[in-house]
Amino acid sequence: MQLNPDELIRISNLKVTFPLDEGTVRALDGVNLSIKRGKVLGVVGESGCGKSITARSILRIIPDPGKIDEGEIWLRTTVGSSDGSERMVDLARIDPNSEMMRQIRWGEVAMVFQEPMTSFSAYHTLGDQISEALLTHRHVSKREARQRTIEMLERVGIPNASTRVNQYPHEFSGGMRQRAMIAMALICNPSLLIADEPTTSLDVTIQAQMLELMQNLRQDFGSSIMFITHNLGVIAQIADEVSIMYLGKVVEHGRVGDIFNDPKHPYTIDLLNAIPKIAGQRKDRLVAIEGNIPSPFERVPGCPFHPRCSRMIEGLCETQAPPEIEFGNGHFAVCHLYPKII
Amino acid sequence: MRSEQPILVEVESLRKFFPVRRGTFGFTKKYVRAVDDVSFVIYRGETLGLVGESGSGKTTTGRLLLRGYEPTAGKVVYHLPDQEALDIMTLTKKQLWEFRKHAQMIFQDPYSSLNPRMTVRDIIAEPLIATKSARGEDVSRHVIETAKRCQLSVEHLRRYPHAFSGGQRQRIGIARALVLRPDFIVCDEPVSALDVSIQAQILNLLRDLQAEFGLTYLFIAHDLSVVEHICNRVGVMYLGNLVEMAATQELFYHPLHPYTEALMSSIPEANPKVKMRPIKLKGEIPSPIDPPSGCAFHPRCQYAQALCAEVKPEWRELSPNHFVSCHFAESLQLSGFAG
Amino acid sequence: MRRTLLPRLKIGSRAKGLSPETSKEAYYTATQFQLMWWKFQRHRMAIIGSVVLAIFVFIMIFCEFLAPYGPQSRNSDYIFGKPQKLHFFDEGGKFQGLFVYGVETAFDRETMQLVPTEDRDVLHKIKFFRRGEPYKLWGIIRTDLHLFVVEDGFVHLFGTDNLGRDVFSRTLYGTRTSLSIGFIGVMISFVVGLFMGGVSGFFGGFLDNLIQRLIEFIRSIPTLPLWMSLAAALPKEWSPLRVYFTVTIILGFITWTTLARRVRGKLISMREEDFVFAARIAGSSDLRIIIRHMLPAFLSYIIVDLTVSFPAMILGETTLSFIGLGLREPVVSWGVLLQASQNVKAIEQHPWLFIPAAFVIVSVLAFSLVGDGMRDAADPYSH
Repeated sequence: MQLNPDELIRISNLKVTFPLDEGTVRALDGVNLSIKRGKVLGVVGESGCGKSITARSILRIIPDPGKIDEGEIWLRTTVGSSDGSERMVDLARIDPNSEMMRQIRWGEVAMVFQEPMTSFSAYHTLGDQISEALLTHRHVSKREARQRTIEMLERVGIPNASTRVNQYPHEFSGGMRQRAMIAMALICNPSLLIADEPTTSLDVTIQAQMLELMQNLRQDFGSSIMFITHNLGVIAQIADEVSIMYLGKVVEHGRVGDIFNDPKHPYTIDLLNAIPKIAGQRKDRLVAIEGNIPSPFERVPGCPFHPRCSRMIEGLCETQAPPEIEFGNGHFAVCHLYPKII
Repeated sequence: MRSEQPILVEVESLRKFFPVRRGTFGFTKKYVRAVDDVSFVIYRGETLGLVGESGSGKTTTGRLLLRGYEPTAGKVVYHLPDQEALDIMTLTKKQLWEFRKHAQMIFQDPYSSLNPRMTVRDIIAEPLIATKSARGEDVSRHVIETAKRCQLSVEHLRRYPHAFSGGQRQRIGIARALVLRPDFIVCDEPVSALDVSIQAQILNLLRDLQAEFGLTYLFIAHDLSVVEHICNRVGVMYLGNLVEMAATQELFYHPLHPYTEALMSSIPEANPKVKMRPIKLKGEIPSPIDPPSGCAFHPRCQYAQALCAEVKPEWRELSPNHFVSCHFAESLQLSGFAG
Repeated sequence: MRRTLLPRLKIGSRAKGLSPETSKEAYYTATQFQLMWWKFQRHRMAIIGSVVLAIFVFIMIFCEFLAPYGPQSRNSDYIFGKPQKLHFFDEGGKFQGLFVYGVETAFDRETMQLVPTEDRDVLHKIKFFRRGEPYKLWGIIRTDLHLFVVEDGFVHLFGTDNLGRDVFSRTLYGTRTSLSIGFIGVMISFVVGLFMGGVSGFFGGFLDNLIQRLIEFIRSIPTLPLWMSLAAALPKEWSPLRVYFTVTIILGFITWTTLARRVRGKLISMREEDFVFAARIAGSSDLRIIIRHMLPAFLSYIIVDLTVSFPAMILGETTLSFIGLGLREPVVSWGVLLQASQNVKAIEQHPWLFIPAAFVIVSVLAFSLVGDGMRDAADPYSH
């Protein structure tokens, strides 16, 4: 596999299953994703679509008993090369407990979790926890690590960083804790930052500040960001490209403008219609997507969205897996609705 | 919504302080001032939104309106159709029963708000049986009728909540609130826990039920676009206080309070062409145990002046039906939602 | 990924042989206790524990029938006799069915003692469901049917004690006493704990304070001196039966504190639950909220606690009786039996007197295993 020059990571045909007693859950059923250098990829989907599992697959921290069955995760990295030159590594094929993987985790790929309280240990100061990452991955002295930690905390907008570095996580508010989490993620200057619903548990004014902060940081650090959320508003604000996921598959991908202004997949279209938009006049009913998200144990044959799709083609959508149709500019949708060649 | 409309609920100087023990041995008693002097009215047939961030007191206000909590001070008076004005804080246990038939609640978390050990039928029937509104066959008839109205299948009534997804559970919660055919329902973040594609279903259902049964809603939420969609009027709460209340469009496009302005600037619009420019609030939300002096918002307000730290601004009607509590509401030029 | 409850479904459907569709519906309409049962079944050790417990309960109910002799019957021909081995084949390798060898007593010149030794020429065949010593089943039904006896001769599978009493039979009788003390004690602590914890948790305030201090007081008393003083308070002239009930009640009254705290804690946390608040808004009265909403929710936890407190009860009785403060002869309990093996001489010369200890260990273990399984199953709604 060859990554394009502007690509940092490419996931292809990733399949992750959870063999449970009652049957196998296909958490990821052939996911294709790619993140460009220095860009923000927004990954949108509802519960059970596999967006978090995708992120965890990259870091090889899938919860038990999940396992990667198939597929590749190619990352461009300098880890493991003696002269500091870049090479491609297939993360799906590395032992998750290997030294290589440990170096990549946090050194090259870092993650911000939804719940900042549970992501920190309550028994160590924030400063110690953040500099820990630096001491492990970048061989620096303790003093230097501390100095860089303080600088980083200032950088993410935590006031009085030199005193707060000695405080414990419970002394921080939710918003501040999330900032500290970002500081910890960026301390080793990773090439990819995965943010898994980082603003979902925050209030709207704090969410806005976080989004602004991430925009600024990404310009300064040049990291690529994989931003996972179910909030389309947040995606519209922060993403360069968007992948829409449904039931373990990416059903549509494209630049943010194309996704919001010219959505192709019926799921994307319905999703955009289903959210209330502030329009300045009293509106009528929303266009709801009927039905419910199928249980993870159910296997939907053909297109996973067909039971809820308003434009379902009988005899086709429920039997055959839809093809991937490209609409130009990297915009593609996996759907039977469109003629094969455009 | 015009003020000639009949008033359904009248809230007057409502306060609720929760005691917390602090200090080395827990002897120093302090209070969380969850709701601190709130007054407003709800008109019959309208949807009044209540927005604010976590800890602003909106949920407590909603629960006080149903006397789910005993208030520290204040009055909540209901003007039910064909009845005398009813101050629910003075009701006896028996009168409170009677009142429950008129005011119900829908909860945020469709998982914790349904008793997992009761069948769906029993959950929906609970208000009927508890208030002795129906007996025997009538109970089943009412339950089936209401369940159907909330698009629940009758065959599913003998199932337990664990058989259902979040959206379906929320329908069960709505059916429970609706089964007594109340006049008023407090909807406490009814869609926040749901997936986007399910949210729309529930919002539509709530709207249809309102039209059909002439319901009045108090709609508590933190998602401003949902509030804008469903509410006629909106109140904004901050640290136990109401800071502004107005008709939805008026509030969104012509806010009079700096906090409302900051909220509006923080809405992430689902349109990549409209980039938001959030107003940065200074610092953090103060603790409701020791709220700031004067205007509770003044330490974070970019327009604050000396007066704001000293005098608590009055809750006043600046223009018809537009209430605000800010000393400088007349002079400030605030911008509304930009999208 | 949220783990759903569906795993239980499979077991349920397999057991009933239902089609997938109906089994799904069975899962959807399953009550709390059905879900708990399905979940419990997945706990293999707990199932083993339950089987062991079932055997113990069977022994407890039918000990007169299962034991070949009465608890006080003496065999003067076999004092401090070793456990007799069961055989199928005689010396010549010929199959004889289940039998024990006879015993002849010889004089050991070295130790100057009468020593019973196996007499390989005499075979006593074990007969099942035969008449033997007469007894009254549960003190009511007069009968003499035993599970097994040997005609002319004797069988002592666990040997005999200083008076020539059959340790096997006495252990079975002891099982009845010790387990029933456990059951009754647990019931007492259940009633007291539920009441005190319920009052404490629901009403709060002064009563809560009072009960909590009382619990702290009881828990701060060192148990051994407490038992000793209580036992000293029991008049010596009391009948064994009376002592037995008093000991049970004492044990029950000491152990209720744990349960009371659990009940109180559950009640307080449950008062804040959304569905309890919802019930109040729906117009339910306090009593209805307690009975309809709260009680079913923490009943399962209480059952777990009861199971877990059983071993404490049994060990309590054993300890009390072992140190001579609890039950006394002629009542037979595990503790009373172990009292006979209190000195080094006993351990060295008559190790079989220790066999009742194995029963104590196995029963306590079984209760703990079942308790473990029940704890896992207690909240089938957790994700």
